[in-house]
Amino acid sequence: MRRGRDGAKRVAKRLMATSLDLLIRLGTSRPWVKRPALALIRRYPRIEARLRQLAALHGFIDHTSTSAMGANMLLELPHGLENLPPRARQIYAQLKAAIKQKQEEKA
Amino acid sequence: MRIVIDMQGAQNESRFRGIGRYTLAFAQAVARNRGEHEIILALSGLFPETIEPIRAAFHGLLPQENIRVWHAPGPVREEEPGNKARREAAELIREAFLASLQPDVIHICSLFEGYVDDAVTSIGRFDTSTPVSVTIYDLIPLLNGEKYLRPYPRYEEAYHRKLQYLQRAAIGLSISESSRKEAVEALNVEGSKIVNVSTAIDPHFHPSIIDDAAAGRLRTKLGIRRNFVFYTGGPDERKNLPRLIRAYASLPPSLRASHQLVFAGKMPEDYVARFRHLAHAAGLKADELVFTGYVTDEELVQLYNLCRLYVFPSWHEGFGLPALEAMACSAPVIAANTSSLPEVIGLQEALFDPFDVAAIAAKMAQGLEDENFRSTLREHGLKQAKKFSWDETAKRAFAAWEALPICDSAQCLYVDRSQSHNRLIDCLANVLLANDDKMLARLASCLAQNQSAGIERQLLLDVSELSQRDAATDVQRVVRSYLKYLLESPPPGFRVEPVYATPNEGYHYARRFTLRSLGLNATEVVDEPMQWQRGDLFFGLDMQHHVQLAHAEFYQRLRQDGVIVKFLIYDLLPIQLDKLFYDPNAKALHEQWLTMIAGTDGAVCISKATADAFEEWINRNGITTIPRFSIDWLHIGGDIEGSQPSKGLPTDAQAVLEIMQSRPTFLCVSTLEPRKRQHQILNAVELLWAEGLDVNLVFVGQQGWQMEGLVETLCNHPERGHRLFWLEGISDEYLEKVYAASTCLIAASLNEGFGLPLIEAARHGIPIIARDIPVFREVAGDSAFYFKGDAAQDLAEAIKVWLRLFQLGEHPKSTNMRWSTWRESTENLKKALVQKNYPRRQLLVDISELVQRDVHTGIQRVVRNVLKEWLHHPPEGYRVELAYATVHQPYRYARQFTAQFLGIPSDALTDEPIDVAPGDIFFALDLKPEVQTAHAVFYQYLRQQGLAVQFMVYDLLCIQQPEHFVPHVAEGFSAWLQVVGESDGAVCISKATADALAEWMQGTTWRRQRPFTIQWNHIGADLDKSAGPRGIPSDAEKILTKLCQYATFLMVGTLEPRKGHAQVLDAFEKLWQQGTEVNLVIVGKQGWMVEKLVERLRAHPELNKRLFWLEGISDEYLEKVYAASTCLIAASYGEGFGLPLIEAAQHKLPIMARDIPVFREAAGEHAYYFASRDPQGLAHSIEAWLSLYEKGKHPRSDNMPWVTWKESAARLMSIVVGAATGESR
Repeated sequence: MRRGRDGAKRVAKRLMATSLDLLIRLGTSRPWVKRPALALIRRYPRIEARLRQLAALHGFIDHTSTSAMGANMLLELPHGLENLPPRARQIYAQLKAAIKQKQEEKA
Repeated sequence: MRIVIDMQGAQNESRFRGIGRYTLAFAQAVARNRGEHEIILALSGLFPETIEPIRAAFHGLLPQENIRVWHAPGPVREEEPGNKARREAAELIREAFLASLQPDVIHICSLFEGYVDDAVTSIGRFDTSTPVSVTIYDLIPLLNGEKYLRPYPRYEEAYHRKLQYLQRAAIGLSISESSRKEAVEALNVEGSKIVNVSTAIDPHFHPSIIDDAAAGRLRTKLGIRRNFVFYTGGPDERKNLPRLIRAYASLPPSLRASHQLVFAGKMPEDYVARFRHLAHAAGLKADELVFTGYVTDEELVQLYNLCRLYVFPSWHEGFGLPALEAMACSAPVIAANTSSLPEVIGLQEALFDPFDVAAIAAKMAQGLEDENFRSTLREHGLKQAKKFSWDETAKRAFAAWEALPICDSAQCLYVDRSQSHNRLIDCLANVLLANDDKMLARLASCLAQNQSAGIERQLLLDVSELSQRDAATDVQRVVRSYLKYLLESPPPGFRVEPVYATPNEGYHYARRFTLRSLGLNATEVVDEPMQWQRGDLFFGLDMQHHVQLAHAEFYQRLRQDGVIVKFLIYDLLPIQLDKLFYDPNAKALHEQWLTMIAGTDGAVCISKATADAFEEWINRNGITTIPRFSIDWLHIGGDIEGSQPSKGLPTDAQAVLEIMQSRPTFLCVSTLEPRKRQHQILNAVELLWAEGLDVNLVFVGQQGWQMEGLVETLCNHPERGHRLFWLEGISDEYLEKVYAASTCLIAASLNEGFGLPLIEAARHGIPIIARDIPVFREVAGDSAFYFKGDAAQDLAEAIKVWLRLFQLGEHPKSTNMRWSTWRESTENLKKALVQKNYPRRQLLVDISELVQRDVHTGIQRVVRNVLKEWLHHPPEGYRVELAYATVHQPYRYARQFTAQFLGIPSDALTDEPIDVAPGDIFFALDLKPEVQTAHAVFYQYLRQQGLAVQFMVYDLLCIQQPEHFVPHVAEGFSAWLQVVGESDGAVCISKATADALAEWMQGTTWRRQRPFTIQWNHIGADLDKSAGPRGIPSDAEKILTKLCQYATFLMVGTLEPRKGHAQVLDAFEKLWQQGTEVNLVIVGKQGWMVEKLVERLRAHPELNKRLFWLEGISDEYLEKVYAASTCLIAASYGEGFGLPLIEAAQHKLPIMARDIPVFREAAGEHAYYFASRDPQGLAHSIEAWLSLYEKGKHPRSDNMPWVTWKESAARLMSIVVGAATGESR
């Protein structure tokens, strides 16, 4: 890692990227981490915004979603979805919709 | 026929038993005897470790792409109630997958599976149209319900469900006549529904001589101490082993003393315990009954050969394979006289009553002591075994399959297949427990993988205009006709899906429209949003500029996702004849539309003339296209589709026709439009009338745009109603009569996309006068008379000439004209879509290091240069996709990197996770050991799915010469080489490296069972004038002058231990000591582990006198150094390739190189070699070289051969693709 003035910022950025990644994965795979993590995230609006950006990038959140959908939505998603190719994500959405419809029909 | 074989019988627990061997051998025989049929093996991804062995078993017999793996979330075994929802889901998923392979028959090798393991079988739960055939081994549980079913209610329920499935099978293939009869009776079906295809054994069961040492080893391993009576097979009750044990117990003591009773094969512990207990109770000593546990096939053959007697006491068998195997090995065999065994043994005296212990014992004794009996058994056994053959079984199976009826209608195809995915989602939603998101994600992943692994792809036909309004235009006639024939006969492997969009809404499936056009009910159907996956084809069949331009970005998104996008182009008329179009924007719009098309994968034009015009337009306007943009052309059909011809004759029809027949009549059938040049025709005929020629002129056609002038002229013309007629909007019936009454058709269009009027004329048998334009020549050839010129006079003269020929009967006849039918034209369209530029497969290139950072190392130079070539010249049938991963993240497409590399904007691109399909190739071009080692399991998954995985290997230096590298590097590299060795092959950058790799691989036993190919390819040596420092420092002059003073030896390369700088420096010190006047120039940056050397250099007394160290110099400066040098010294102890030598040769510098294989490979006779590892020896060599040099007899490097990057990358590509596909036909 290069030293110098830029160095510190760069290190910080790297660390943040890693911890975001870690946070997402921990949060989604361990439910007991979710709630405290959520509270923590809400204290840092810029990180929350970044998470939302990541979510949108990976196709979790529909681009037309309002900002009311925040980290809440993101951490609710099952682990590994962000690593599914686009077609698998399309099918996941289809399945969810179909099941929801069945549930409504039964009710 | 396409036959899909469900291979789970060879994957689950059954693979250790007869069923497993049957499944494998049957499938192999079917593959061997397939002839023209296509065979696909379907494997379950729930048994991943069984996939490699099966792929290996079919290597060379079937292309790897014919082995497809499907996935479903497990566990699913039925004995576990908690698995119910998953099992039901898996049954649906499997059936949907098999149906998507578009088979004519699905054959299930073993239906009654999945209770104790993750096998999944069902019939008719989702796919109710494909005929299914099932191998029938036996129905033993059914026929002995009290023993096998009643005690196990859960199992009984499962078994009965399987029986229900069996009832839905179209045909059963039984393994013996006995099992056939049994099944017919037990299932109460027609005798013809079950066919006996019999069975056979593997060829490796034969008599063999086992040498004592091997026999001894086997006996010791298995605990066999003397001669033995042999049994192999299952332990269940019907196998009758307790009676066998008791029979053995009652043998005379001498026989027992000299023969053990050996049970071979994997047997569950509880049975083993029970039998031991039984044996003990019957008085057997501990070592008299031997259980061998699992034995390999080889060991089994040996055991058959070594045993003195084989006994098969089973009272109920479907066949009884072990008995036949034993007979084939020339063992004396005795067996029960019930069920199928008499059929298999074929010798009455070898049989006994299985329920009579004394009878069994007596036969055993006879079989052990009576030599005549023994030799009878042996001889008979060998003869009997020859009567059974797998090829025969396969032939019988084919006969049974070929006799099945096939379902084929277009309706059936579209309705079934287009709704299939949605139907599956619907069914799954019914069986799944809600709110289990993890499960849903796994399921979605499995479904996506199954779609990839399936054969079927979509042919998405854009029918936006036609589906919304049918204006019966010419274009729509084309669209309707192609749609009809494509639905009837889709390209093989495709599902035709008409789709549509509007300027504001995205693409949807045009289900309602399609069902209506097939004459079916469309009320309950919804037009859902379009879905797509890699390998689909999107074809813009209809022409709707506004809609298609509005979706230009969407087409690029499709292409990014791996969909091939092509368009049909009718003509370029709005551009070529822009003044004649009613819309002043028509030209600009058409050009925008064509530019959009040029950015996709290809265009199909309706005539060669149009194709040529399009190509010329692209070149003239400098439009960018992808490297392999294809322009194809075909001719549309000339037959009328079977639509109802319109009827009706106006009251004056008769009169008009009579006038037409009374003199030569020239006919023009076309909408009145400027480009059709009806003006010219009218004026020409007016000239003829003026000259006194007596002819008619008939215009048939509606008024078009910009034609008010002509229309007025026509309406007010003096000849109107006499010799001039304009028939607008007439029925087909009337038109037929008009043709019949005409003498000649005039086609005077300035240009057309095609020439349908000419074909119509030819169909009616009337001759043609046509303007001499390329497209008319193309359509009519010699079957028309051509004229040139825009003036009325030109046409008038031509008509006169034609009339003279006509009177002599020498005019060109149209009856010889050839045209395509719509059916033929559709076949050509299918070819143009699917065979041309349809890169269905991916060549995935791992560039994990280069994506992260470009530090201009040698390897990265290779990667960059290969990419440059590959991205611009992808292999035929493949799309090159760059990908990368990190240690913790899976592989993604390197879209942003690729765009930047190609110099195109990259903001709209996302690096999505990769998706793969059978037939794709994964090539690890970049070297990134930690990442690639971390993904070892993923590479095996790729190989299971049917991809070929290969690695580029640059060198093995860090394990060949570990002392030259930092310690932990060698470990990491070894781990990496292990990963490479478990893949399908490696391409090395030199033969020397290839040899080293082959040697290293020999020491290891690999889990991989398929062959590994090692090839080599020299990298390119074009001088890389890319990045690097620039400029020449101020002291350069001085240094260069000094260099020219004496003979100067040059070393170029990073300072690393293995480059040998230390030895060279030592040698030169000796030379300087003894007074030799020579220079040594070292060009190169400090690398690793060279601190001592660097200290030495910096402190050296000769520094800048006769020793020079130039670090990080520009290419410019380096050129000058090369020019001032006398000889290059390459003293490396090891290299992956000999690039430094080639660079020297390019500078015409003579070379002294260490005598290592890789340098010999690169330089051949074009270098002087030294072998010594000590300074004195090297010093001598240098002196020897100098003296040769003075005489001019030193080896020159001038003509050393080397390859360019273009050649090297092209060759690398053909090696990689060839290795992946060339393995089996």
